[in-house]
Amino acid sequence: MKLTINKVRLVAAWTWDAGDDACGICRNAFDGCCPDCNIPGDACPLVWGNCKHPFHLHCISKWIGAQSSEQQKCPMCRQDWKFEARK
Amino acid sequence: MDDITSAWKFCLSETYGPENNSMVVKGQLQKLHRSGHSRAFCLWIIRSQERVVVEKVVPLLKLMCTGNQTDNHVLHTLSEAHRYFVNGRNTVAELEKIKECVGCTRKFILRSMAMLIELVPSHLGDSVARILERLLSEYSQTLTGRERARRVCNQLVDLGFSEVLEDAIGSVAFDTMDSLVQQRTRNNYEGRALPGLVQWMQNFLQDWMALILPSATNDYDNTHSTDATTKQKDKDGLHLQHWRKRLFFRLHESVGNIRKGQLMILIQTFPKSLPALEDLKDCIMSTDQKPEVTSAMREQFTQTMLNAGTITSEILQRYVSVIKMLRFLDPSGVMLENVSGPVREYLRRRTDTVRCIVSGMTGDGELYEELQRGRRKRARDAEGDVHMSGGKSLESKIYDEEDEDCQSIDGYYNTSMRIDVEDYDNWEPEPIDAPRKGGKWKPGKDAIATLVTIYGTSEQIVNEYKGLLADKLINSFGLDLDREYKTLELLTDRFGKEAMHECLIMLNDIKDSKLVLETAQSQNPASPLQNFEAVVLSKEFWPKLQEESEFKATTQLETQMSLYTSSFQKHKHPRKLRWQHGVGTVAVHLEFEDGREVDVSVTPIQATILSHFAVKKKQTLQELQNHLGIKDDAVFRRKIQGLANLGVIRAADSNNSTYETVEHAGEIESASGGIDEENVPANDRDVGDEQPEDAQMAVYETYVMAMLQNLKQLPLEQIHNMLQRFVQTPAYDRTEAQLAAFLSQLIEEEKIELSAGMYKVKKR
Amino acid sequence: MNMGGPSSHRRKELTRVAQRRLTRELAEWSVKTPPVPGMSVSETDRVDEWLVTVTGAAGSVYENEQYILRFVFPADYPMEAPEVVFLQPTPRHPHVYSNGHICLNVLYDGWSPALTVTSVCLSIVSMLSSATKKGVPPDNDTYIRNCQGRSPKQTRWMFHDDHV
Repeated sequence: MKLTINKVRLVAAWTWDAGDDACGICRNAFDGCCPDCNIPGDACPLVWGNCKHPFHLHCISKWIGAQSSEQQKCPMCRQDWKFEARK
Repeated sequence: MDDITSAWKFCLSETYGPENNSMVVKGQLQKLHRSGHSRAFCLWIIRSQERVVVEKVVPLLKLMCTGNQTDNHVLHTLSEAHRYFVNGRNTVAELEKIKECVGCTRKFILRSMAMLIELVPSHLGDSVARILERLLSEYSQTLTGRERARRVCNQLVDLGFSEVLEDAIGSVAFDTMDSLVQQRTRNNYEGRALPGLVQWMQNFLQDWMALILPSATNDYDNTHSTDATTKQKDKDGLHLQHWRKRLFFRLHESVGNIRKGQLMILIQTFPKSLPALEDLKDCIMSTDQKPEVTSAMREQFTQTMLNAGTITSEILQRYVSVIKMLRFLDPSGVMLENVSGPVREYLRRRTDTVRCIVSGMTGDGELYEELQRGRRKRARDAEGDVHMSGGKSLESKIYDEEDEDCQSIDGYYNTSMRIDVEDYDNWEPEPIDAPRKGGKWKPGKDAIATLVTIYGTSEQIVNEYKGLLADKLINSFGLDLDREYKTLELLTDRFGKEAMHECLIMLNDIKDSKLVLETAQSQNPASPLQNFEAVVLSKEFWPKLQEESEFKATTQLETQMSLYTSSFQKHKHPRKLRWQHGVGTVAVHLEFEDGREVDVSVTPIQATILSHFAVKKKQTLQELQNHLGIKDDAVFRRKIQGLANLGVIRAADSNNSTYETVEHAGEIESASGGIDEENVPANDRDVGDEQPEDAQMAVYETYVMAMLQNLKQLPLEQIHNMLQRFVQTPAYDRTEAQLAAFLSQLIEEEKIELSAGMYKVKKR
Repeated sequence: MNMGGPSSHRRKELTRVAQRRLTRELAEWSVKTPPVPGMSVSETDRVDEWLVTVTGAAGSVYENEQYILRFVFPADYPMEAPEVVFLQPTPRHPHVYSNGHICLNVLYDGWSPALTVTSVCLSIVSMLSSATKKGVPPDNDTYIRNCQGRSPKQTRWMFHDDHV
């Protein structure tokens, strides 16, 4: 038997690779989007703190923005919040 | 004295007859008057004339009733009887000059009439009717016909048969009208019958009646005063008007009754049957037939359509016609609601109804049209199009009306909950015939809104659409994405943004996946990504997919996946890709030693298995499992069995642990027979084909035949799709290739035929 | 008696974010009821108010005693802490004033949007457990006099006494 593959249509799912948990602030799935957004993915990105805790960018920004600068802590571990640069 | 004697002699000689009596009587009367005998004489005259009535007029009229006379004979007999009577009346009238006899004519007439009514059989009316019918047919043609009709009627009135005459006129008018209605409405659905009939009734029938109808009363008392004459005229006018109303009602009732019997044909030929429906609408508005038409519609539809032999898509199609028809007939929506009950109940019980509704809305049929109409209306409003209904066709008029009602389902529910203060002036009471099920009556809905009410809410329909869309997006090559966006937009108009949100993300995923692919392709000019498509899902928004463990794919797939992955991760950093091995389609082309070429669509795992068979045509399951790195035996066996079902590989030993390619087609049958049922694990039986192929496929024969009968002809792909959609028990899980094999078997059995790629029922 | 005087006379409507988050939290309660043994939630006629029944932990001085906590959620929950008070009868505890106000860090300055109704309840139960004997806070009378029906969130809390 000779085989030729003519056409291929494969399916994948994207993920932020942030684990199965939901965002600690909004409780929505990481791979979903924050309650203020409708479209997931680039439009509602995920960010990590130096403490390695991920949040929807919009969720953590809202929390951090409301705190005075010395009060800016990770909602999960209460360490000082610093955005982690991911390469 | 001699004179008196001779006068009496004359009288006693009983010479009386139809001719010139009055002259003789006049002469004799003068003599007797002079001699004071007048009163006795008068009485005698009257008696003798009454005898004439009994002995001459009555027999003649009886003769008329026998029914064995020709029409001309009847007319003659009537004239004869009339002449005797009038003569007698005139004779008696001569006596009025004598003081003692004043009023005798009236007495004579009343007494004679009483006698005639008493003595003449009641079926005189039938003869009269027969004559009138005959004269009616001559009426339009000749002036004499007119005259004769009038004469006959006058004669009958003179004889005191006004009531008989009026009844006969009525029954002739009704019968004539009914037969004309029959003639014009039977087999005529695509043209209006009613306006022509109304015209005929007004210009001809009413005219005829006005001419021959007797006066409203037989009041002989005041016939001479002018005041009474005016009164009489008024009365006659009213009388005629009363008859006009009866005729009008009868005409509409008659047309309505016939149209009512034709409802199924009207449904089946809709919208060509619109003119007939317009007739029906006028009839419903002019008579009290609405409940009858409603229950006729319900009964006919239930009997004809709601049975196991009719496929769901056809019931739906007809139901949509019914919805449109009833919206036209009765914009209040009451008829529709009353007819819909059993239909909804029945459709709700059918498991494939939602699927049919959704595929209808997203396909090319009537429901898709319906969806688009809401949009067209908005577009028109946006352009500020002035509504001109004058020059429009009936059909477009109906649709314009409907467009007004095309509204989002959500909006629909909202408005019904709200009491609109601003709309106060437009408030109308609920129709009295609205079904009482508690709550407020909601007026007419369009087809889609009505279909939604099968389930109460739009949720099921929306979910079905989601599933269908996901399936399509994942499995179809060369998808028309623009069309899908458009459909979604239309559905969003209907069901609201919220409900359709996930679908929008699904479509966006497909669009994004394409962009990533295009970039990847442009960066790898001699790319192995040429025949490759990828779908990257935002999985939170898609229906749950079948999970499948990792496996080691064939090199080509592996390369394609890794190229695409790196392109994706570069552009969408830090997002990652997870390939879903349980889904996806690979179209492979196989060539066998006997020259057989087979094109099949398989899953990525199956394509990989086949690639191993291409290298080595006989392999043990263990070897294959090791190649692919799949640990789950049951899953793996299912994949293998799927390929065996396609007839490209087969078990090479009795316990199914080794498989080989089917290089020669003739070997298939023996191979499938060789499968040992005992060795297939029980949990695999849902897909394991233990039985010979055709025995299992035979289940689908009825479906295939029903489809071809209803839809005339279909290509393979569509039969395949429809089976997938509609067949639930046992679920249809075959490939197109298997179906094709089964269909060729049906062709061999001369049940169906194939020409130009279309399958049809074979005509015998 | 003052029932804890929430600022309930004028509450702002919950934002979409708050509504969704509360829906999710409520779903957790109903799926694995109760998330913690001895706890149950009952909704009131307001979407932004829950009543949660908590049970004193085994081995503590409140063992098997049930108390009701009232949660009132602010419009931008979870960015802001919910107002949490005990309804009458309140537990006699050095950090619980007799008007129901609770002196607990996480309910005020220590709030984090990652906290949930469940985790707050757990904190409160654990706070109760840490008491070795029942008794009202020493400044109970003064506090209640000054408080005058205000929300506990308006109090300037000093959390110097974490251990009873």
